Amino acid sequence: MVFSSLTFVFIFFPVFFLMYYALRKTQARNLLIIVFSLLFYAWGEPVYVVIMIISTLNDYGFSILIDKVRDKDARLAKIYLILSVIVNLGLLSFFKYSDFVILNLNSLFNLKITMLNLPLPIGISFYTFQTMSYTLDVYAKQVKVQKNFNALLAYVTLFPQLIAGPIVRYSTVEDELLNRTINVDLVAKGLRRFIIGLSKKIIIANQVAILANAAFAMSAGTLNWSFAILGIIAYALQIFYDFSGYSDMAIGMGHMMGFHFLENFNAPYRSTSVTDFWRRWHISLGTWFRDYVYFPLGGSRGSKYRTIMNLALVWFLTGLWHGAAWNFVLFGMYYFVILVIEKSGGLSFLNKLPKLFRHSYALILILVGWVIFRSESMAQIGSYLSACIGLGASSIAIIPAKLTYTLPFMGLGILFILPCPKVLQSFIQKLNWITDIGILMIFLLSTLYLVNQSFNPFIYFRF
Amino acid sequence: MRNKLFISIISIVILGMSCFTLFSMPNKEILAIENRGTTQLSSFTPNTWFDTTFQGSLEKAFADHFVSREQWISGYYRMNTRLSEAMNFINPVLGNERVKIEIFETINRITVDQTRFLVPVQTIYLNYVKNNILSNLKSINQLSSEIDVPLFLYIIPQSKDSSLIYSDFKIAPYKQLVKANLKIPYDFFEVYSLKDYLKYYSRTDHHWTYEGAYQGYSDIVKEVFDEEPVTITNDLCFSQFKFYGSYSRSVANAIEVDFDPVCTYTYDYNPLSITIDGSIVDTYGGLNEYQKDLENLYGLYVSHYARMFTGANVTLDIDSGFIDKPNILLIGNSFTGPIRLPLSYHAHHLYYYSLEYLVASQPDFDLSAFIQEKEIDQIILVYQLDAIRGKTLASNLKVLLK
Repeated sequence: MVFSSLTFVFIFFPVFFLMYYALRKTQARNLLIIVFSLLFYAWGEPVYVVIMIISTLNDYGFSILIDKVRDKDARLAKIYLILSVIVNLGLLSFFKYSDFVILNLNSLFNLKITMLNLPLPIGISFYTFQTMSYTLDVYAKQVKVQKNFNALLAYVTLFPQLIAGPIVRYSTVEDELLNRTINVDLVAKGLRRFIIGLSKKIIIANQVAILANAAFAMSAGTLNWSFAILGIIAYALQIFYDFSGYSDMAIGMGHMMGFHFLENFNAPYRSTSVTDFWRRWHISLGTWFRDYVYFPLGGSRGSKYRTIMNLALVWFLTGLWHGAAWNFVLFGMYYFVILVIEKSGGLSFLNKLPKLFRHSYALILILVGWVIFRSESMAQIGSYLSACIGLGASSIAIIPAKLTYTLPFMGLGILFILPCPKVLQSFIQKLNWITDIGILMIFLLSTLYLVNQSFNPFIYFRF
Repeated sequence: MRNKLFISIISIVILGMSCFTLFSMPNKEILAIENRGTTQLSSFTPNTWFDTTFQGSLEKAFADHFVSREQWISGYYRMNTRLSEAMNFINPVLGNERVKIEIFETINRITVDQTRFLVPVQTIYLNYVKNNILSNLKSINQLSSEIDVPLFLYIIPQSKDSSLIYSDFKIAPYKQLVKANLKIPYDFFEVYSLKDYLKYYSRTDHHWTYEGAYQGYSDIVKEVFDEEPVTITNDLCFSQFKFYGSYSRSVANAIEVDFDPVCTYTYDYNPLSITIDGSIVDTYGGLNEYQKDLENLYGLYVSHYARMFTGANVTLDIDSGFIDKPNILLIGNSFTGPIRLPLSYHAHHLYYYSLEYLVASQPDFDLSAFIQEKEIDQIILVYQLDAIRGKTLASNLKVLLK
């Protein structure tokens, strides 16, 4: 099930929330979270829900063992930790990367290993990182071991953040898992945030996606430079509004349930450098790799060579985390190279330049990064980027005529990422009632789009 | 207070919509525009859960029965249309031509016999095609002035113009244009009810059905010959075959949609022969040819309309044997297919020519000479409204003009 569906907005969440609100005890609410989260997950993955439970059991069991022996036998605790990580990464690798490995082995050594063609369990990258972080934190004494399986299962399966993040650390919700309160203010705040997130996904992301998809679907010879650039801007907006919309919905639902998840985005397209961008984009992933990979490897405390190697590994893994394909690896390594340059003096040089130049620099590199990310093959990366610099088709039209109606959505998308002057901010904050009416209208508009998703005109359109 | 009110309003909206939808979910209705029935909730069993049939059916059923679904969709298209219109100004700036915006507005959800309709409104569309219509009518007027035999025009709104068909005021601007500018006798194919609409137009094809065509033919013979239509003896349906028309052939999920039956009327009349380019090809409409095609397993996606109604034939000479009757020249396109045979009952010879065929193959065609040679007494033009408002008719008509 996805948040941006009629079933979720009009059946699943209202039913869940009414029951949740009716229950007063946190334990009972946790149980309800588990039931609904498993239902939410099993809705589309009735079999793979078992993998999530196995993953939770693995971390539940090993973290208790680690907690037991940690002070007496550090070596054994480490072995338990390694075993736990092996199980977690084993599950993730098996389901996400086995076909990628087979494909590369086959082409490298001319083998004929049969592909497994396993469907990827939804959200496995997110919940694996969450369960791993829990065990790693228990090992590092950052959090207390959770002996209540229901509480841990509620944390792992918590449906608002289950399939698209943010990657919620156990430490973030540790206290709230056992003791949380909800009140009208928090529910209203969450509801507003949810609606804004839904509209970001439905109204902006889905509309600009039409433009982005059209650009990326064009062959190398037919894409001209203007549409290529427009397409990549559209994709940058799509991925931001899609992903941050999901995060907003998750954070909003979290509020309604009494949880306080950390923010996952902080105006990433206002960055002045690539380093800055990755502090603002998918923050929960960046900090996860920083805390659980980069720092344990020594971070930047070692030699320059060691720091570079650490960064290379982190960005290789970051790329691979996004998907089992070489373009994702390239995506990671692309940022590795830029970040190394910025760390090696590039950033201090940049800081001397005017802000507008720094913004432009960051945005251009980010857009190139999205071309690598969105492309389906290495050849497409090359041809798309070539088209961007004028080596594609030579047609005059900037955008196909029938797609110009998506431009207002692009305009909106760009407008909302621009910094809002403080005067305007304080003015908007004073318009309490008008803001709420606006949010209600946005909700109805989102419903309009949601209903239309089910419409498949036959007679009038498909010919 | 503000927060409480906000939560209350949103809750009422969400719960209200959910309850209305859930209560209406058992209803079985036909979604006419999507050519399918509303999804019904599948039974809940371990099997349907694990293969996600139940989940899928719940999502689809909920969406299909969503309160005021068609009004929401209508709103969506209205908004998109306005947006497209508003953004059209930018096309020339961006190096494009202004796009012809197909207006798809839905004025209402109309339910007749458990069939839900969306009614597209194309009145604004008229503005974009007014010049085309005027140019086409002018060419027809010129044609009429150049020949000595009477000319009659019959206009058929297509199924995609359903709003024009059954809501009279929508077609009024077209009628006014034709009335004010056409100087020959004419008539419109009229469908006054949704029931008739379903009967007279294929759901899977842009043509009219055999029943619709018979109504059109009846109109023509009353207007042109002041005669009664030929008597129908039978409905001949080939139940083993489904009509995979132009709409269904263009969708990937063709198998999942409902199809029209493959049917034709048989009449109390047998023409002696159908001649194409001097050779007798059939003795009874296109039926023998059609059956022959079916025996040869012509293929699943063959246009049964064309095969059955000899629509693929671009020129015909049907000799009825009624030597006292006038000779008729019928000019049109595939829409004339089902009316050629019954129309020939009112003629000695019914000559049919496709205008496109003449343009492509006989650009030197001399209409006056043809009229003289074949002793033509009446010319009938039959075109769908799309052709009347399109750009090509006027240029194609040049082949008939001096």
